[in-house]
Amino acid sequence: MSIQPIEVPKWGLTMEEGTLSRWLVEEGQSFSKGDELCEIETSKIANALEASFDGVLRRIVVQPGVTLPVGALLAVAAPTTVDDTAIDAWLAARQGAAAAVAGTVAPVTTAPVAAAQPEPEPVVSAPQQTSQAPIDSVPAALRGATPDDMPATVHALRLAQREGIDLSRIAGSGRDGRVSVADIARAVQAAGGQLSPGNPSQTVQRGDDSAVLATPIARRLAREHAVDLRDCRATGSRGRVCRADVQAVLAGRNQRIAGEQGDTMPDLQQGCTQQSMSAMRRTIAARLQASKQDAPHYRVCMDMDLEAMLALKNTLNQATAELKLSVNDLMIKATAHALIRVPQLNAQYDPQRQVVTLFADADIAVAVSIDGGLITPIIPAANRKSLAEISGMMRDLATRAQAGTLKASEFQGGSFSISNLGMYGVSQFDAIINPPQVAILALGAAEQRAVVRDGELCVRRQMTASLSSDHRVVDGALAATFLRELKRLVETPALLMV
Amino acid sequence: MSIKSFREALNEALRQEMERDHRVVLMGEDIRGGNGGSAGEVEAYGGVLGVTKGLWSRFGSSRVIDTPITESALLGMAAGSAVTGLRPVADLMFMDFFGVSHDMLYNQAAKFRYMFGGKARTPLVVRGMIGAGYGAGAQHSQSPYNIFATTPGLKVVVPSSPYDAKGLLIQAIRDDDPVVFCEHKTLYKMEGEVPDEPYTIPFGTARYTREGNDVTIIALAAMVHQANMAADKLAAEGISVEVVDPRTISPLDEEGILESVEWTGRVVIVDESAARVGFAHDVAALIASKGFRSLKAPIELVTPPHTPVPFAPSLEQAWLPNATRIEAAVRKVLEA
Repeated sequence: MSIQPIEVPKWGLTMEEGTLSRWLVEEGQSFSKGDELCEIETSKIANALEASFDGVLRRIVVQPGVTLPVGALLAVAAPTTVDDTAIDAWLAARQGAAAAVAGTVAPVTTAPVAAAQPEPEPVVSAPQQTSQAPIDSVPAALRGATPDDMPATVHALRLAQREGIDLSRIAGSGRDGRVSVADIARAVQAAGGQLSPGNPSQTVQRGDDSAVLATPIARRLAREHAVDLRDCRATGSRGRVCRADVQAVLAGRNQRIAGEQGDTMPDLQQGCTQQSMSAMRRTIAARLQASKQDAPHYRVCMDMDLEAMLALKNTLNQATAELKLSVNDLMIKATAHALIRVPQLNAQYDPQRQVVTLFADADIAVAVSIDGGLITPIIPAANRKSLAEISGMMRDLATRAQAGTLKASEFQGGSFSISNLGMYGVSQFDAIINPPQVAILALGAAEQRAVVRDGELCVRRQMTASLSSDHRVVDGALAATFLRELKRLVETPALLMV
Repeated sequence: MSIKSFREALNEALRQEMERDHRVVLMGEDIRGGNGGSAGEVEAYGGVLGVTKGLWSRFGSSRVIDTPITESALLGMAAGSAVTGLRPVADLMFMDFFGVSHDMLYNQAAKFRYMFGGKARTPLVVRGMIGAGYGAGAQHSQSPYNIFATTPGLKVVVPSSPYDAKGLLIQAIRDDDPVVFCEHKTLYKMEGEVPDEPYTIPFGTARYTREGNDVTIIALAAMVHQANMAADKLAAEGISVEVVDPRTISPLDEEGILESVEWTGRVVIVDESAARVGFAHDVAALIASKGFRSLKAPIELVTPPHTPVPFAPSLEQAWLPNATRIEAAVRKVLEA
């Protein structure tokens, strides 16, 4: 095997470009088929590119942080017997070919070949789809018009016509040298090109992912988690999407970052570094930008006395050895009860359909900071859960959020959100609504404050809660009603037993 | 190029090959004329089906040989003359009769080249009618091409059009191995464009009578036309069907079949030979083993029931695969 390109792979139908995160193999290092060569991040997933052949990585063409279209050259592999000048020549030829294609204004067509195409026998054709495959994938050495008497299969002739290939330049493996589609694919690859002889009408026409080859388990898993199989890599046997591929997409959905963000760009002012936005950061940016733009936010704040709640917490934690309730656990419980009492805030708003959905239970999303971003796992039906259940579940969700192993159902949806920065000593802050929810509660730290009670100045532990609401759905009086209810529950936590 | 019937195409192929090569001889029951041979009535029919009409008067009794009604003698003579230098074309009339003579074909002629280390050549063609739909009854309506195809050493041709019939028969006569040439009896009257000059069609090359994107139908002989009818009807609904006619089942154009399967991912196989252990089952096994990853739906087979061919015309039509059943099978694989 001679010089072979390593290119940006196409992981799923919708993938158009990928960002190289880092190289896992160094120049000059040899690798085996199946070894991870580099990490590539797409808008959906971050994954490692596996070698499809044994070889030696001779030349890295692209440095980390660069975003490239599918099929772009990342690196060159060749045996050590190939000298550097040959690789230089190969690179120049490839770049020259790319430039030549880019230089032509109109896409290159196969028109001259179509005219010369033989029509050996009467064939009634179904309506032809106008498929124009990427033409730069066929090396020049194979281009041309196929002679009339060339023995070839029907699909081979069709492919040759579509791609402008001269079949007489290809050795046929069939009876009497007949050329098949497989022969064309082999020849194109051997000449350094790439070709996908698939049926374009099917991949384009069908909106479903049933055309994707997948194992039954992978198909079932994808269906359960609403993953489009076309977004999955196919690393399974016989080119199928397997369970691991679907799980990789799910993991990406869990917004786990693979690899560090250490991809520093060259040519910067001294002391500065640049970081590419990770896929998760881009998602967070887009969602919160949209929320701020679309939802008219306003804030209502209220101070809450925590003495009674802290006393309850201590009593419960001391009475039960395995219980480690936090203020946050108690606030989730109190918030859930307040939401049941003021159901207009326990809602999702669909501006397209102009519909507000009120939820029967309080499914509370709790913002959890993770490496490189944040995620909001959900405590479903928190109003019906005991403090112990909430506490245990919160700890489990937070742990798995860090590990990136949350299921999609565990962080998608929710009827209300809580963001708590109290552990950082923050007194008070505003949060941005997590659409399609209509409000979010921002909790500050429990801190000792000098307050006036019954005409006396005294020291009490207090917390400030700020409610951000979407004024399209929630009016100020409603927000205030909710906070008043929450304050009542927090300051008289015995009500939570009722 | 002119319009010729399937029968005329075969006749022309025989005549042109006999003119080209004096070693080509015809032998069979009643192939000379079929009407006693008295003056003026010679070759009134030109064989039971008229395929050999005009050849006896053109080439004489030494090259167009009427035989007694004994199929084993006919094929014994054909095999012997082939291995000793002639290029006989034996007319079995009804392929159903192969049972009487099969030792000569499958245990002798088919084995010569292998057993004699390639030193013996057996350029023999056995022609015969196959197929139901003619009201010919259980003993004259079968399509036993699947049985021939099980024997290594035999090549099996099953043409579906006048064009293919002529090109494939000439190829069969020029081939140095025994070839079983199966002519569907409902196709003899079928007309089509056929070049006047001799030409050959290589064995093992499928013809696509329709090209499409959604479903592949694989069919032989008369079933190709039923498949075409189903394809045309479905095309009106926007369902694009590819119809693959392998034309020879031994050798079989595996690439031509698998490439279409890869293209569409859905397969219907139509086969008149047998409800079990037939051509359809062989192709289904090929696709299952070499094209499985392309399949989006289970393979659908359209075959007759596992019964003899009925004589009553209504039952015979019910027995035969047809366009309606093929259409239903296409819909089934599309919904799967």
